[in-house]
Amino acid sequence: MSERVFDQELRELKGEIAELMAVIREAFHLTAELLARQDLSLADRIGELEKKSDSLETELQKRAATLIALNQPVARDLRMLLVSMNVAHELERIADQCLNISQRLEETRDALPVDWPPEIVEMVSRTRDLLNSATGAYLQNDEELASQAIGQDLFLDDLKSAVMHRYLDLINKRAVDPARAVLFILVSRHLEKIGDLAKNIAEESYYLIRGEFIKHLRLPDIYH
Amino acid sequence: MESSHIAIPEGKPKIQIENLSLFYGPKLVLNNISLVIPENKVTAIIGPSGCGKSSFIRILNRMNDLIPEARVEGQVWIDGENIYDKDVDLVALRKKVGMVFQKPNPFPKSIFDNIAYGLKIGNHRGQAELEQVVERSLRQAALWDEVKDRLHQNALKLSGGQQQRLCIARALAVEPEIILFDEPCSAIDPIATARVEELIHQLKKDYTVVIVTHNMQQAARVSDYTAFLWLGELIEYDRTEKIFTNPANKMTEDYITGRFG
Repeated sequence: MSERVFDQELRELKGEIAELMAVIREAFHLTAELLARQDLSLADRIGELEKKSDSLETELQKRAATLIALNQPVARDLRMLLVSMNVAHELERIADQCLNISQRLEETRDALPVDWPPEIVEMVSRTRDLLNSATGAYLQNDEELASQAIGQDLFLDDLKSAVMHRYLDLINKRAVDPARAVLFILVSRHLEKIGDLAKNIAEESYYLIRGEFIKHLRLPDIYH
Repeated sequence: MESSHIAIPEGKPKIQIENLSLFYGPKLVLNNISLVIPENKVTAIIGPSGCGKSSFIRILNRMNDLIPEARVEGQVWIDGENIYDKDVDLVALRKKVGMVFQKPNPFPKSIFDNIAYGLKIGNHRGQAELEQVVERSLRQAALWDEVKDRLHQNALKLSGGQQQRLCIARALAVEPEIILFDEPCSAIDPIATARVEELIHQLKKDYTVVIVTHNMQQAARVSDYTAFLWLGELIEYDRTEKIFTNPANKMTEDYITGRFG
């Protein structure tokens, strides 16, 4: 089977996504470090990475639109382009969430250091796993990883709810410093959002591989 | 080879093909094809050169009968009638199943006579009725406004795209139910192609359309169902949107994405 010029162009596009994914993984890694060490000097680098993700995403969207216009792709080629555009957008939004977390810490710098609730510590680790599964699903065309990532997201929802309910309750009872409680609730919200965006990447990857939309399906329907 | 994937279309069947094989002498051209073509839809036949696309649509109005060595096995039902039965009226069949060819082939006569010709040989009609049919057919073929003031000019003076629409009007004049298009745009320019494609969209309101095309984008644009043929085998048949977004068969995928053919 002959290699098309278009194949080379699609590979380059995938290479750009891989580059954007590397930026996002670094941004998340620094965010996790920032949470663990509460070293605000890391915030600048997170800001830089967020800007870089913006410009990479813009370039990627332009390139994908051009490839669609000039090649009129169909079937897997078309899915590859549509999915790459969506994945790029989700990645850029993950960088935004990392930036949000660093900003929340900067805003509450007077309350630092804090002892994170165990749920948040677990959320960081699970979000990292989910992000790795979702990006791996796209890069390696691995539908198992995609399904795995979708399953992992459920835990994050539960952990965020646990943090939110406990700290709202403690605020009501005036049993916690409100600034600290709000920080915990917001950080858990940002982490859950990153999980959500990573899950979208997994769902997009599943569509790329199988040609089937699984957004908004229940897990048993996906695993059928 | 992967197994073939043949969908059953929704809607009323117009043509039902069962275990159809076509031979030219000893050569097997189409191998055991079964599919259902729905009424008032556009069905596209795609596949590489020599895969049997044109032979396939010529089965549907028995044009292959004109080839002495051609032999057909299996059955082709149109509205419940097997068109390969011995007592089938071929003139009636070809009136019911019209055809438009690759190259525009108007008669060296006036625009008016090109359309009236089929009617005149069919049965004798009055001039007023002929004029009515000519106008209706030209309007249906989206050509009326361009030629209404020169109906008695020689048809060969029209542009290629206009000649092709004239041939479509000529096919429509005898009130067929099915229209077969054998690569109708391969000899005309892109603007004329766009006109013919628009016309095909309009025609499916009243007719069942089967189109053979080399141009996959054209199949994607105009058809509701697509059949992919390869070396005389029907590899995949499904809704066009399915074929062009997520084909079931890898060969279909490789063909429509331009990896072979």
